[in-house]
Amino acid sequence: MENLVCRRPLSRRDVLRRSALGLGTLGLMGVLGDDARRAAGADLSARGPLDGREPHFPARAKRVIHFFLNGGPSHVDTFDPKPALAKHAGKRLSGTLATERKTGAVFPSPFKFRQYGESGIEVSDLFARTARHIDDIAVIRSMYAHVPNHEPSLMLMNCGDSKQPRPSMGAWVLYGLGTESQNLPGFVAMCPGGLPTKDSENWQAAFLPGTYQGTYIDSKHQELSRLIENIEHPQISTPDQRRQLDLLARWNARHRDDRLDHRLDARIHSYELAFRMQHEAKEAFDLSREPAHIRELYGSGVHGRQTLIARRLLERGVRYVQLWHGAGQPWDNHERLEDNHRRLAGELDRPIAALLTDLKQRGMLDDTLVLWGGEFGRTPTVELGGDGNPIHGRDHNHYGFSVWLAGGGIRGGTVYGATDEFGFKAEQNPTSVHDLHATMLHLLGLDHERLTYRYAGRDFRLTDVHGRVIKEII
Amino acid sequence: MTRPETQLDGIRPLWATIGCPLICLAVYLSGQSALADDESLRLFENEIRPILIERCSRCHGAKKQEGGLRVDSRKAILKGGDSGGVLVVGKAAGSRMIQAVRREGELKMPPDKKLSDREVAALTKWINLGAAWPETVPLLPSAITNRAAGHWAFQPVRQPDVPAVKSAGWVRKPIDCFVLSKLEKMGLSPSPEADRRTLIRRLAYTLTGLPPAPEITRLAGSSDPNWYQQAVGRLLDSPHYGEHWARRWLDVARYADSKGYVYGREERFWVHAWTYRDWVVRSLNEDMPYNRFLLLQLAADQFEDRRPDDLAAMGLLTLGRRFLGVKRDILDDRIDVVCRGTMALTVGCARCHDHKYDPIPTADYYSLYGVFDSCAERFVPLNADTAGDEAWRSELRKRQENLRTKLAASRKEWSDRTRDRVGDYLRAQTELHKYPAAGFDQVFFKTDVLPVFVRRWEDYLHNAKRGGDPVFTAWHAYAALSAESFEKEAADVTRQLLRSDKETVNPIVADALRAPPASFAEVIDRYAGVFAHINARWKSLLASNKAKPPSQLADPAAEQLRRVLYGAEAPCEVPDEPIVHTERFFDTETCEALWKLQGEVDRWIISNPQARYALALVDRPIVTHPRIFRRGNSVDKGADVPRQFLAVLAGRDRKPFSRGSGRLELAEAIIDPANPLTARVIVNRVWAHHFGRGLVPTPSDFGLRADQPSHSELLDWLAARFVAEGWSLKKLHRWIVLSTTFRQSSAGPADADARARALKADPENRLLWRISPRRLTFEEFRDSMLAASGDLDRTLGGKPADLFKQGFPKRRSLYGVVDRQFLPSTLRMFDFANPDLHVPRRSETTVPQQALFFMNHPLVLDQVRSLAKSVGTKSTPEEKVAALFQQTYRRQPTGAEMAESLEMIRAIATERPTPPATAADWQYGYGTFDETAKRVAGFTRLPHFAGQAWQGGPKWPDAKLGWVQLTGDGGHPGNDRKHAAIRRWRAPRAMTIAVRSQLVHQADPGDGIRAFVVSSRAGLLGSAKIYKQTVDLNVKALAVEAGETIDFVVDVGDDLNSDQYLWEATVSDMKASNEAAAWNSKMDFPQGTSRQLSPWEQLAQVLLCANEFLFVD
Repeated sequence: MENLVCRRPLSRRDVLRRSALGLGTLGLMGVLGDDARRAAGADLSARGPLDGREPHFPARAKRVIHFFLNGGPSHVDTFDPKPALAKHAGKRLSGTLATERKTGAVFPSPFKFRQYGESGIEVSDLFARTARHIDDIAVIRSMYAHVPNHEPSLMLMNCGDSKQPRPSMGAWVLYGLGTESQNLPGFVAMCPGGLPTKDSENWQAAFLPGTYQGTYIDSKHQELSRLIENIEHPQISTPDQRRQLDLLARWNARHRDDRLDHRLDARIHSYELAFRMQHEAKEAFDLSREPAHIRELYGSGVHGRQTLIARRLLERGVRYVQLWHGAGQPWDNHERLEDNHRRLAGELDRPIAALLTDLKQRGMLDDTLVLWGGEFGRTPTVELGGDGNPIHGRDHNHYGFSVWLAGGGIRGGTVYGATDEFGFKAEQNPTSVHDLHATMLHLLGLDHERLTYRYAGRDFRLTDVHGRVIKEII
Repeated sequence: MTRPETQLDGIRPLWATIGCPLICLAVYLSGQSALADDESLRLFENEIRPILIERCSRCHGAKKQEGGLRVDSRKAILKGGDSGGVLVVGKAAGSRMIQAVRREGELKMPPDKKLSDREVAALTKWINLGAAWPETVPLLPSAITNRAAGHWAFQPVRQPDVPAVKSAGWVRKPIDCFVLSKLEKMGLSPSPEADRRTLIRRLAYTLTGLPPAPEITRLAGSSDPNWYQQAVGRLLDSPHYGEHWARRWLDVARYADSKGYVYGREERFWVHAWTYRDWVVRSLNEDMPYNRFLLLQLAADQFEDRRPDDLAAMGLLTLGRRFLGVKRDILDDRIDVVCRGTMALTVGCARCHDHKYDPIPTADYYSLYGVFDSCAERFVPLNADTAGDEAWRSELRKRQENLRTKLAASRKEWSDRTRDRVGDYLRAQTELHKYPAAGFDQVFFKTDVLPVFVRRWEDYLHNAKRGGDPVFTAWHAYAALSAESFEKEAADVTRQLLRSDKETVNPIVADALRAPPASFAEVIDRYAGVFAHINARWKSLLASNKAKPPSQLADPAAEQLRRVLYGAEAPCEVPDEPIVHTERFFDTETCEALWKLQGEVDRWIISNPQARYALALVDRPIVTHPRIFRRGNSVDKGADVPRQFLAVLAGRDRKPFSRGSGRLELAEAIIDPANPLTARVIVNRVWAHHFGRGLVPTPSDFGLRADQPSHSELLDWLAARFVAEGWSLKKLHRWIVLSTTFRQSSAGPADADARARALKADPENRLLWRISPRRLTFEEFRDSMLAASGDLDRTLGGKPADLFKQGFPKRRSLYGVVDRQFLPSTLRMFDFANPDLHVPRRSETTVPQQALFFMNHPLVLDQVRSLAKSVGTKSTPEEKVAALFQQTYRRQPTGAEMAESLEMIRAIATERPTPPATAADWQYGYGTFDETAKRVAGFTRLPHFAGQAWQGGPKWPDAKLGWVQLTGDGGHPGNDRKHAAIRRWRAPRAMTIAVRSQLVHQADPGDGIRAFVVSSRAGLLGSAKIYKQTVDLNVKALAVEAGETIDFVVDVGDDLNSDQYLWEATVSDMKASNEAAAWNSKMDFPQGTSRQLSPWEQLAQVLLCANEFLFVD
């Protein structure tokens, strides 16, 4: 294999250079090969798969946090006010678009919208705390997806393709930029209480090396051993483990001495990193180290906790964090939308607002890109049950929905695009998920057309053959 | 019929076309030189032709004519484009073409990157010389075809001569000549032979994926000159060979035991996957010829001479991800695994548009799509009569019957309903956009018009048009009219229809249209009326002839119509196929009910580890006629294409497949020795596994972007021999591993200069001047770890087990469950092949999470314990160290390693207090104090040690055993008197003892505890019932026999509340005076160390973690 080096002892500098979370090997380079060299315009030949890499052009954002409201939050009840719904309440819309289930008459939002900030953008009471940050937020009200079903739409939102196994955005970003974290996974997906619909496909690496896959954390737990695999060593004391690693290092060094193989060094150092990780990862997840007023700011619920952990991870160099609302698809409120949306937003509004406040006061909002959204929105019409009667919820709506972004080079206080009068379909500046991805990559300093990976005869991109950077919001 | 949207411009097989322009030129020069002067033609061939093809024809060629201009023939280029001529013969200066390439005017060509000065000069000269164009080249090929014609992988395989080498003495096998001649040409020298131990280890891993067994290792010391050949022979004969190479094929086959994401209604595990895995193992072990190996995987159903188990081979096609049942994605996955897996062609790229780099048009993709779309899945029991007992089989029959009955009833229900609503489905044809493709999933009720039937009607009408079906002649004639002029033109159409004979227009239809319809909607109504009438007529005929039901209507015209409703190809009929193919033909509720019944069958089969099933494909009785999906969109259908093989390989004489689906013909075309790819691809895969890298570094992409092979002639020699010698993989292995090339050392040439030269000239070792060391895969590592401790269970085949579940199975990793939806993170972390995708080559990453696995994962720790235990019988520390080295590295430790190992053991031992020998005489459990018998009853050991206490489980209180707990100081009784906490001392020998103990209860709430000291022989020795008190419970002198127990029992008072207690007890041998003769409950209690790694276990772990264990030289 292509793993030759003119071997010399590793200096401390070498170690530091290579000691990003992942240690590269030329073995990996064999896999990445041309692909890696093409990637990110960076020369990877002497680097590890997760080493920090220069972007294509100066980046506005260094890291991403994505609040994924899985199930599909209703845009007409949150960030896309539609007074027409109240006006035409109870009336049938002509030419209702096909959705997953049958819907009936116009269903006005039970939530009150108010203007916030200098921009005066209207947000519903569901996200009243978040809305106070509206001048840092750009709302895209004209998103669309392809089908009204969770699974393909989740894949589209996360991986840019609704059908085939493709790498998730976090995996692409890790591939393009590496991670700056020494001791933590570069891409973390947290979801309390189990996996969202489509499971770990949402943060898959697909054809990229497995290293780029998101690391799942069930944030319901508080014990470290249940948060990160193999991080604790209850069966051996730390001094004993240290002694083991010393002997191991000695034997490995001797073994390496008469061999021409770069990978051997990489592996030697991975043990040292792992040893350190045991301690430092622990620290990152330990919220008791946060002052009381910060913990208070985020709130004590599971979402407050996972959001605060996310901030601690981002602070320590983790590149991409995804925060899911919960197992399955909690925001999928086909029935009794008012109660359900109120409860769900009640769990999220405070942590989101807290994060924006906290990032700002730490100066991190400037280079942290925050994304809020689901896999699609919901119908402005009421869903009908099997008996044809309304069940006070909304069906899936992929024709038009909202997401918002903040920080990391986003122009705050902006609204981009619009749905029709009722909020059924994106009408003005329809924005594809590819456009959203292209824009996010752009803010991270990556040209979505140049971030490619050769697989099965093609140079794949996150945005496939689509995508336009939405200059209007940056 | 429209022209197929995509067609290769070179139709002859590419390897047979004249790829080299010089040959064209020679042909031309010999015959045509009178027509133009040599220089001009040479200029065309050498300069102009490449410019036109590579730089111009993409926009101005057969496919696209920007500005109306084509430049791929002389006639076309002279004709010019929409805005006139571009080329004035003899006058470059006046030619717009030259202005454009010079970028002088508005028009700048090519738009992306300008031509070089040299190219511009050549064009200028060519035009000035008269724009000569050889008549032998009427049409320039497209850039891709042009390049493909010369591409190495598409040339026929010819067996080259074995090259001569200078150092003939180095050569053992022909491949050595190919390798050495290249090295010699580069002035490089190969490496010396590796030592015997290294060779044995290398061989064992490359052939079986396991460390060498002792009998193989012994060959290293043998005086037999054939020791190496013997080792190769034994390893190839070992059943572990098949297991190891099967795993490599399973990467290609994107093997998994589960379907990936499915809706909750469906069983998510495959019934059949593991039988496919076992079939692959067996076939490889039997050295089944590779061509047959492929043939069976693609078309075992069509072989008379197959063995029953061979149907399992078709798992290759059927065990892919399920894509929520969306057919086009399932078929895409099959096309990909077949084309990349067997031929390294990335055909999947042509799904939406012609392949950008390779000569694979979209039409070819849909030709193959048609093949797989003409096949249906079928579960076939492989051992139906012998699997399970009669009770199991009868339950299975019951479940299958439930499914069959419900499926039949639902099929009839929906077929009838659809026949009754022909009008609705015909009307739907005028608003097809309302019926999305599968993948846009909607909830349907029985009253809905189902998109799947709408699409079937669409296809049916399309085929009726193609085939000139007289029933729908009128339909298509009216459909061609525009809405605005419909009424006006309909009269003419009607007249014509009425004049036509009955072969052209069905008379009953003609009759219904006698009065010209005013709109197309009216046409639909008339048709609906005709079908309703025929349906009623048929139903009443059936009703009146129940005893002897008729098979058709007597009137041929009526029968023709009846067939549209009831015929084998009727668009109203739900196909007689399993639910996996028919789920969209039912309303949502029915669909879910059917899946539930299918799930019950599946789960029942899965519950029986003996039941072996294959999931085969069979040809559908009615094959489908594929159409191109424009841009991959299945509702936007383009041209019809035949089911046929790929143009680039089939060549000029390509004929549509004619037997059934064509799947067997496809398989035959793949394994045809004239196919330039198949043999090259497999020998390259095998080579890559032996040397770490293929002769072609992209094992599943031999297209135009694949690198030239490092040793082209060697690749061809291997491929040609492979086919000539009967496609035997074991022979191929022998050619490789018996070579001197393979036996080289990994250290490089002994001479430092030679090594430095090689490192500089070929750092990647593509020329094989040494052997590149190999890192074990996760599976190999795990198997080796089990082998080292002697735990490896070498049973072959059978159902998979979860490798990461506590208790950790001891079988080879091949038999671990591969759950593609929940792939264990450990596997992913170690670059296991992603089971969603065909993986030609695994990544190889090194990340600290892997180190954490080695350091802390319970699976490793279990093995570490087991390894240490396996040397426990050795008497001296030196012997133990030596045994550990032998078992892990198959060698003796060096002096330094011995010293370092002993030092580590010593250091741990001195720093850690060893548990006293007396500790072994205590047990920690629970049971009952039987007040009548005055004895302890039902003593059971507590199952879990939590570091500080023995208790019911990791959580305290435990769900089952409740609060019962014993610590070094005391403990807590269980929730009731059947769960008294019992600390038991067992007399190791006969003696006279004294017992001193102090019992403390402190808590305020509750009512205190009861305590008993009980001998197994003498009964109750003392007792107390205390609440917030301290008492002494002593025994002055008691003669005990060996094995007699003294129990310190505590149970709850009258109720369970705050019953924790302290109780320290000392048992002493009254005759002895030394310390060893006293047992103290506190001192003897495990000090949080019982699960801690012992010094030997720690050493064993270091050995397993070291690079020497993980890398093979």
